[in-house]
Amino acid sequence: MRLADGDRTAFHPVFVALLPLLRRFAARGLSPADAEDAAQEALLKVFRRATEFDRRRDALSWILGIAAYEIKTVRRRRERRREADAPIDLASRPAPAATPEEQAITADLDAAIEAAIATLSPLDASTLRAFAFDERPAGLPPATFRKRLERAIARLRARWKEDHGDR
Amino acid sequence: MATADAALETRARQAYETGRWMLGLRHAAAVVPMAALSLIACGRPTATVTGAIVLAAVVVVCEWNGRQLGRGSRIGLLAGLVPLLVPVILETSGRVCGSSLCSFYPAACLGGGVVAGALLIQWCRWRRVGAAGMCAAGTVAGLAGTLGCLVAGLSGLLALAVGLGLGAVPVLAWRRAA
Repeated sequence: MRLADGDRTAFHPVFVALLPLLRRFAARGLSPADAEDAAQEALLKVFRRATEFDRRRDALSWILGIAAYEIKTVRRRRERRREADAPIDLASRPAPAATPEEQAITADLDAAIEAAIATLSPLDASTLRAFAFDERPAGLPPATFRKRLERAIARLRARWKEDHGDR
Repeated sequence: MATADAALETRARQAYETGRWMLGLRHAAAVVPMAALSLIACGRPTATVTGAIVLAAVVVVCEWNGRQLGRGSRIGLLAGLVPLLVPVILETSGRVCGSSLCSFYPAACLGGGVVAGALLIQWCRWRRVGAAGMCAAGTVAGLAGTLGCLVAGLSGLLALAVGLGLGAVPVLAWRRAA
C-alpha cells in the first residue's frame, strides 16, 4: 500500500518478501526453469503495476492473481513452442498397413509428403530426409542442423497447409 | 544467486519507476481537455500551450514522486477546475463583456480562486495531506485555473492568485485552530 503511494522505503522489504513467495507459487505449476521465468516476470509486473493497486483489495490476492496469469502465459507459450517444434516425423509414419485400403491411404500419404518435399529447396529436402532416416550430415554442427531442420519443417508445414489446408 | 537477485531488484526498481512515470502521464492527460477548453474560450494559443505544458509537467513530476505530492496534485487538478471553468463558461455562454477590458472576468477568477483555495485546503485536510502536498495542490490548482483565467489576461491571473490565497488561508487557519 505504501509502495502504491510512492513510498520508496517500502521497496526493498516488499521485494525481499515477494521474491520467494512468487518462486514457490510458480514452482507449483511449472518446471523449475519456467517457474523462475514466471516468478521474475510476475515480480516485475507487480512492481510496474504497483501504482494501479486498489487499496480496498487484498494485496496478496492481487499479487497472486498477477502471478497466476503469468504462469498461464508461460504455460501457453511453452505449449505453442512445443507445437511449433514438433517435427513431422517421417520415420514414424504408420507401417505398411495390413488391409488394401490402409495400404492405399499410406501410399497416398507418402506421395503427398514426397510431392510437398519436392517443392522445397534441395537443402530443405535433404535436411528433412536426413532427419527422417537419422542420417545427420557428417561434419555439420548439431546446432546448425537443428536450425536448418526447423526452417525446413516450417516451410514444409506452410506448403502442406497451402495444398491440403489444416489437415 | 545473490548477484542475480540484486540484478532482478534493479530491474524491479526500474519497472516500479516506469510505472510511476506512466501514472504521471495518465493523470497529466487530464490537462488535454483543459487546454482544449482554454484554447476555445481564451484565444491565446501560445499562453495556453505554455501553461498546459507547465501544468502537465508539474502533474507528471508530482505523481512520479507520489506520497504527499501525488495526492496534492490530484486534489489540485480537481480544485483547479473551478477557476478554469467559471471564466470559460462565462466566455462561451454569452459574452458578458463586449470589449477586451471587462471587470467581470477578473471577478469570476477571484471567485473561482476563493472556492478552489477553500476546497483544496479542505480536501487536503480530509486526505491527510501535509504542507508539501498542499503546496503541490495549490500550484496545480493555480496552473489549471490559469488556463481559464487567461481569458481575462494579466488581471485575471492576479485575481486568481489573490482568490486562491483568500480561499486557502482562512480555511487553513480555521482548521489549524479547530
